[in-house]
Amino acid sequence: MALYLVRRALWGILVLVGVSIITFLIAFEVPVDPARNIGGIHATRAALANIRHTYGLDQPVPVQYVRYLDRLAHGDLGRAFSVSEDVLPAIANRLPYTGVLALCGILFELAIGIPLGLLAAARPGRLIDRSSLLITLVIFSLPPFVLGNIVLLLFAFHWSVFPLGGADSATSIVLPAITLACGGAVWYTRLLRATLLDVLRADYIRTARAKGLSKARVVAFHALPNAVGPVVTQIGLDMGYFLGGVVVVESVFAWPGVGKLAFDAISHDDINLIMGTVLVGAVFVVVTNIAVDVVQAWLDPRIRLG
Amino acid sequence: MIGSAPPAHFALEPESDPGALVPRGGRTWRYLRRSPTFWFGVVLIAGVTLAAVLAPLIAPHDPSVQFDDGLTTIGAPVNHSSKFLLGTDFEGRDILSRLLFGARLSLTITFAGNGLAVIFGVVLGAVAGWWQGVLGSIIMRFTDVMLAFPSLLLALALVGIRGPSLSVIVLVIAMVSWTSLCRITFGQVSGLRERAWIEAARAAGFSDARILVRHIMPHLLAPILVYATLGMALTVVFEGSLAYLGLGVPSPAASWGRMIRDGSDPNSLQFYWLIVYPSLALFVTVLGFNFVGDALRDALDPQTAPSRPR
Repeated sequence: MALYLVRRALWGILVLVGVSIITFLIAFEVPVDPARNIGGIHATRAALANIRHTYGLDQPVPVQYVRYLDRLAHGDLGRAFSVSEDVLPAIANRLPYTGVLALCGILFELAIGIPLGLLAAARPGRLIDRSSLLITLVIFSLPPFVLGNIVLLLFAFHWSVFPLGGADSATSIVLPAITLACGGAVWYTRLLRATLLDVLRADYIRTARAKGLSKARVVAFHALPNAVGPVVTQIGLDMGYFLGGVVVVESVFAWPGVGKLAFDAISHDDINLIMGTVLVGAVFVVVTNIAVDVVQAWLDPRIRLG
Repeated sequence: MIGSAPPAHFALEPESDPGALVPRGGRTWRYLRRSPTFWFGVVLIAGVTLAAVLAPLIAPHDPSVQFDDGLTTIGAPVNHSSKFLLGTDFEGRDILSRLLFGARLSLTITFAGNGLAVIFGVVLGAVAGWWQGVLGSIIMRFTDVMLAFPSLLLALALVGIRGPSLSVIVLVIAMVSWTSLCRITFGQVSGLRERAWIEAARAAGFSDARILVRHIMPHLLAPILVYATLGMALTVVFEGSLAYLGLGVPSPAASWGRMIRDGSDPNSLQFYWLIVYPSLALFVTVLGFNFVGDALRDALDPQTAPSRPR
């Protein structure tokens, strides 16, 4: 297990180095002269050269990259001028909002996805199975900004059941969380259905049925525990995905999380802040990936020995 | 199980000729022919494609003309009328015409972006899977890195830096969406290269390129086809999201995502038609590709179900 952990950690570090190379190159591509940005439009040629020298902008690219890594390692992602804050604290301040939204999103996902998957797997090929597959496909075809705006139009504007946006009251989270959850619930339904159908074909299920247990009991207590593995994996991956990519949902509902921050950064051309959110999002994805692998290896010895 | 299916040119079924592109083509078609979701999806896609192609002929108005009678006396959009069937937007432009031309933009970006992504993914995955070694490792580690990025955020950053234009958006979509298919192709090719008939082809002295194209590719077509179709749906959403977030092809081009953005301001929600019709257009398009892709997956039953989009 220790060896496995070390291997996964090394993989994570390697990926993060790759991520940093790409973000560094992207920041390099920005058609703005950073020295001019610092010095302002009235800076003389000599002053610009001086600034370049002070900030190491006249150094070779690999040296600049190492300095960039050094800054990242110290948590210095630069200044976000659009919010007059440093990038890392700006992101950290919004993170709880995104965390709450992601958590509620996953709860809704499971609340919608698991029962549908159970129903579908209990009667494969029957009407309930076919209609659940159809419903999931239809829901999945609603892009978050379409679904979000439609529920906003209906439940916040037309019927005023929920607030129009923001995070001022406890009910504010309902619409964004549902919007976030709808697309994902589909995957849980299909995942659970597929693994359950597999498990239900196993011999021990027939034995359980043969000794007289009810079908519901067999599904809930015998089959389900063996079918939740992929679901656990998906929950972990979703956490990383939600924390990194809720830009659309947060923008629709003006939810003050990291995604909204990134959206505002884009409208203000605040490149430091955009790249900061990209970087933090990537770190979350890598960390949750490793966490999922470790949990899986802990649950299933075949993985860590393989 | 694509990996264990007999190669297309050794297929036992009489109707699958040696050059058949998809293994077990006859069975696949027999399944699809009876699948209502497949046909429903085909009709939706055909409808949207027709609207896109015929937009200049069937659009009642020029999509970028601002009509004087397209706004009320206080400057608000007009609801549906006999002249503007689906109403007008804040600039007095006809929504129906903009929807039809929006279909052109959406489908162009989707076909080009997703097509490029499929090519990148398949070529890189096949190269990595066939030659493995250092080259393969580099490609696959690069794929790991790209998969770690939240794709929409990365795309927003790239488009934001380069400035939104048709070609930038297409390229960026391709750059962030090739990874899953690359992994799938890699897995398939590295499995296939160990099989006996491939060994036989190598022993017969065929070149690597010939083996890849003639002996390996036929087995990849099924998963690629499924993935490319479902990828179309994802790309429509992706392009719409970019436009919704303000980084679509700039005005006056008609883009569904941007139309929804314009109507989604809290103060303009009373003009519901600004949101409802472009939403419907996007939904119908995405639904069409998802239905066809789903039916194809069931028909071809590739072992590799696509992973969740990020």
